[in-house]
Amino acid sequence: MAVLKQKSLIVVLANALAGGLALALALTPRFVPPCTHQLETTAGVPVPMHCHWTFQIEFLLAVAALIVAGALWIVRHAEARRIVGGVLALFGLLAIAVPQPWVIGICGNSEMPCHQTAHWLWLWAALLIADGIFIAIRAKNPADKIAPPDPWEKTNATQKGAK
Amino acid sequence: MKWPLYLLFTSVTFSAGITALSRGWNLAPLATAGKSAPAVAQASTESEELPACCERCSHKAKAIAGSPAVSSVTTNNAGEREIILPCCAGKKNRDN
Repeated sequence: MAVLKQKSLIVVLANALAGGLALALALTPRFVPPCTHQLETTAGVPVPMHCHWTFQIEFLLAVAALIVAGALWIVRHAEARRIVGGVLALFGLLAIAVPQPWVIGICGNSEMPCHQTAHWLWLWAALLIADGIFIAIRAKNPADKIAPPDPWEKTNATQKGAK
Repeated sequence: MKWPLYLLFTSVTFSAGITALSRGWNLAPLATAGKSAPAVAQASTESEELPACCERCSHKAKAIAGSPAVSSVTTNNAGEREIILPCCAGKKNRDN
């Protein structure tokens, strides 16, 4: 019984961690802001730097991850939890991929503030991947924990005893 | 009973996220960019046209020397001016 309680506590912590990491992904650019300088185009329009668009996408990914993490509190079936965990891990992968130069990228100069923001986001995304995989692996149906005895096996055992 | 609550949570989170994004949540100074002159224009009166930031940024930038958008403007041995923008990883543009 104590083991069951411990397991459910782990699941609750994993669910809460997923939501917290999604929130951290969304809020980090607010506390560790990316580049705020702007360039002016020849048309006279100020344009944000390269990294701005990356963090816009990161924010959308974080909102989506938060919504999916919320589903962890609703779904009970093991298969559904595996899918939700997998989707969270996928969001983590996308969050790591978006700042790469072959997707959108951030500013080239490593001394620009956006690099610090990206490092924090990579940390949260890596933890989200690990948490998503953990949730998927640990997904079990409530029925699996207290499995009823197999009547077919019982019959076989009785027959063998009779022989 | 949980599913209606989750649908409510989803719609509130999504609309809050979209609203925050449209109001410049990530890059607060951008929200005021249209209301006042851009920071690059306030930094200096000396203006110069740059051919482009670099291939990676592909900005046809009109940056201003001494502004935050320009790291440095130097003259090399051949007498050509080299302009370095901070977003270009120190790549140099030759202002011919």
